[in-house]
Amino acid sequence: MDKPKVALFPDKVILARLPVKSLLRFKSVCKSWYRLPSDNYFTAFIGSELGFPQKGLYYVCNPSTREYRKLPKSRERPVTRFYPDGEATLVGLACDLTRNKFSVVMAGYHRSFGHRPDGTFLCLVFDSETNKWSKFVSAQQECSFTHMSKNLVVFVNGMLHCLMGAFSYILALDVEHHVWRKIKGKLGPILPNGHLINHLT
Amino acid sequence: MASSSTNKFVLKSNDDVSFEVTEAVAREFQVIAHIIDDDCAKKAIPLSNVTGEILSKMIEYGKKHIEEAPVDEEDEEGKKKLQIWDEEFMKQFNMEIVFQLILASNYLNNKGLLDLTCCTVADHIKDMTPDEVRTLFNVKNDYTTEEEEEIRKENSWAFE
Repeated sequence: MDKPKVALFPDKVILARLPVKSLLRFKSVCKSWYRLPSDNYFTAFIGSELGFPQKGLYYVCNPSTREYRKLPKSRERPVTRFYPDGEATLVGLACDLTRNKFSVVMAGYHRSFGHRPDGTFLCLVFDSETNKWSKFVSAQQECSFTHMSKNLVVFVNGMLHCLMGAFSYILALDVEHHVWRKIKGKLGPILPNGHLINHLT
Repeated sequence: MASSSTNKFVLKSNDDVSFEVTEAVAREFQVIAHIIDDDCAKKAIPLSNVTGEILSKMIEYGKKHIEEAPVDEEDEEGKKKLQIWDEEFMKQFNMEIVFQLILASNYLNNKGLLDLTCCTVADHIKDMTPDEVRTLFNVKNDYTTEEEEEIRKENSWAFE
């Protein structure tokens, strides 16, 4: 090429469309390219993942950069009763790319050790900006959680959506304002692969 | 306002080539749509950053995407047909032209063409070495030999 137009060139726009492997290889091209995979624009394309190695201790990992962040412990006390982080019924990761922050949500019914759940719905929310967990309690009756519920969580429009038992309704959490609501209605024939949100709008 | 299929506009490249297009085609480019909405499009619309050669290709793309637009979201066959056309369309260009198309579709703000051209480049470079990429993008290597070695080690799996 005779006249490459580097100053004008939207290389970000091109590089964001590369496979992760190429992107990491090109970190060694020059210093400004080194930072690209951690750039906001790129995380929007690539997304993040969440892992759970031990009770009360969590890591959030960005698979494209292999960077991870250790979250502060979600609790200090030993396990004497059920808490959402021990055997959370719902687990979700919410990424707000416009504000470059994320939240981790864990929720489930509270129960004393050896007792049945008492109907109190407990929710822990981690905020990456404050680096703190917050806890709130609400009454959610008759939530039919299944093991599947854990894997059917999607974050859209500031709400974390969880597909509930028998695909009968969606439980949604407004992550910012800590409010749960139920979305009922015909969900139609949905596959449990995250496509369900398309059918909601 | 007259219907967008009969209303015509003239787009003028920076080397003085004029193209008459329907309003629908002109509106494929966000920047031009804004000019039309602001009622500033009485005469020819001058596009100071685009050559006639590039503009003619962009208009060809815009026309096709108006004429063959999928009927709706569900029209998988229509989408597929257009995708095949897109792939064929890109095959005629060398990388220099593709880069110019990227700049022009970025400038005139056509998301579809920007995406298509960027994907073409990404596909072209994905298996290249860092050195080949530096040559293509004319990027200067500002690492010391030690630093570069260090980064290569960090990401060694990406070189396998």
